[in-house]
Amino acid sequence: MTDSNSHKAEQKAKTDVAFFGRITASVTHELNNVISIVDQNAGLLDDLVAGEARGVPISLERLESVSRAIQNQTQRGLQIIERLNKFAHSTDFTEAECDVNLTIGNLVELSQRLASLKRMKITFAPAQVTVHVTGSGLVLQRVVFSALELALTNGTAGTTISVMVKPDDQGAVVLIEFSADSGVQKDHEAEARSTVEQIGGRLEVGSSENGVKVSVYLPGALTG
Amino acid sequence: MSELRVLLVDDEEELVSTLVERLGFRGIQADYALDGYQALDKMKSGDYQVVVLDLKLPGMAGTDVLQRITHDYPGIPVLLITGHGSPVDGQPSQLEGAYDYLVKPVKLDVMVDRIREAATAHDRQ
Repeated sequence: MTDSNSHKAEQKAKTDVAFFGRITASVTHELNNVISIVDQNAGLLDDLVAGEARGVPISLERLESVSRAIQNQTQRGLQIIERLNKFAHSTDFTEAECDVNLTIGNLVELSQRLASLKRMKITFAPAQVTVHVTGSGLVLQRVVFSALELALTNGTAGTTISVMVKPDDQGAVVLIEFSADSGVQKDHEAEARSTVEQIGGRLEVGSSENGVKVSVYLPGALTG
Repeated sequence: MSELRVLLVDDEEELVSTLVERLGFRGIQADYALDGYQALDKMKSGDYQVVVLDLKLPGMAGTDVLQRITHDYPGIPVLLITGHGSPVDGQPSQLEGAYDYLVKPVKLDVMVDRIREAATAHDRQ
């Protein structure tokens, strides 16, 4: 391997790790919230039982509502773990057949907390047909996330980001639409474009009914 | 003795509403805000003795809320809530102006002790 190739490989590994860290940090924070809610509700049950022992009666409805809260949060936690597990397994192969609908759908769900911190939401619409590209699942998600981050960074608070997958002659296209009061900053756009081009794709930024439309054209086989 | 008045700031409503109830059982009258804007709004009328503030908030960042509270209400102690690994490992400057910090998930007894300590420090000023 030449020095130049070795440097590129090192840079790619660093960006992959940084992306992995960004997603897992956000998701584990959310998991921490789930554990906290379960813990406090379990503690509340203890408080209510202790109150009963002192002669403060517990209503059945109250017990049911605390139990329901614990069940709902347990379900929420399991969903988060399932998504995080899928994300972690996307590092298993550097060359795999990736289902773009499933992979990007999972990425969107993992990014919801980052959006909520910006007071935004993300909707996802998969392609009506199965769309595959070959390459690393982690790289596919990192590249699409670089475009999604244009929306998270430049989008207007209180609005919704729409992510859609469509089949394309070459591979697939991921369309990201969002409102942005001040448009997209040029340096952000250049960074996302460079990331997409590194895997042999193309990024276009234009306007749509809702504001900004970012199109990420993915090749059938991711390179780089 | 009048009850302690505390403002909890966290975007997880189910968490803070449960904490409000449990703190109430321990003689602490708590109220909650789900983001920094609500928190600053409630601070205007709340007459709180302690603020418990999560660093990860939607919209206005927890660090910005901390700055605003310490600037506008210099005597009111702020207890920060952080996730694992932050802020002491990475950005200790985030603690600047805070009375102390607690790591999520926080045990209620620990939170109660810190709230009482902070309130006592506040009363001594």
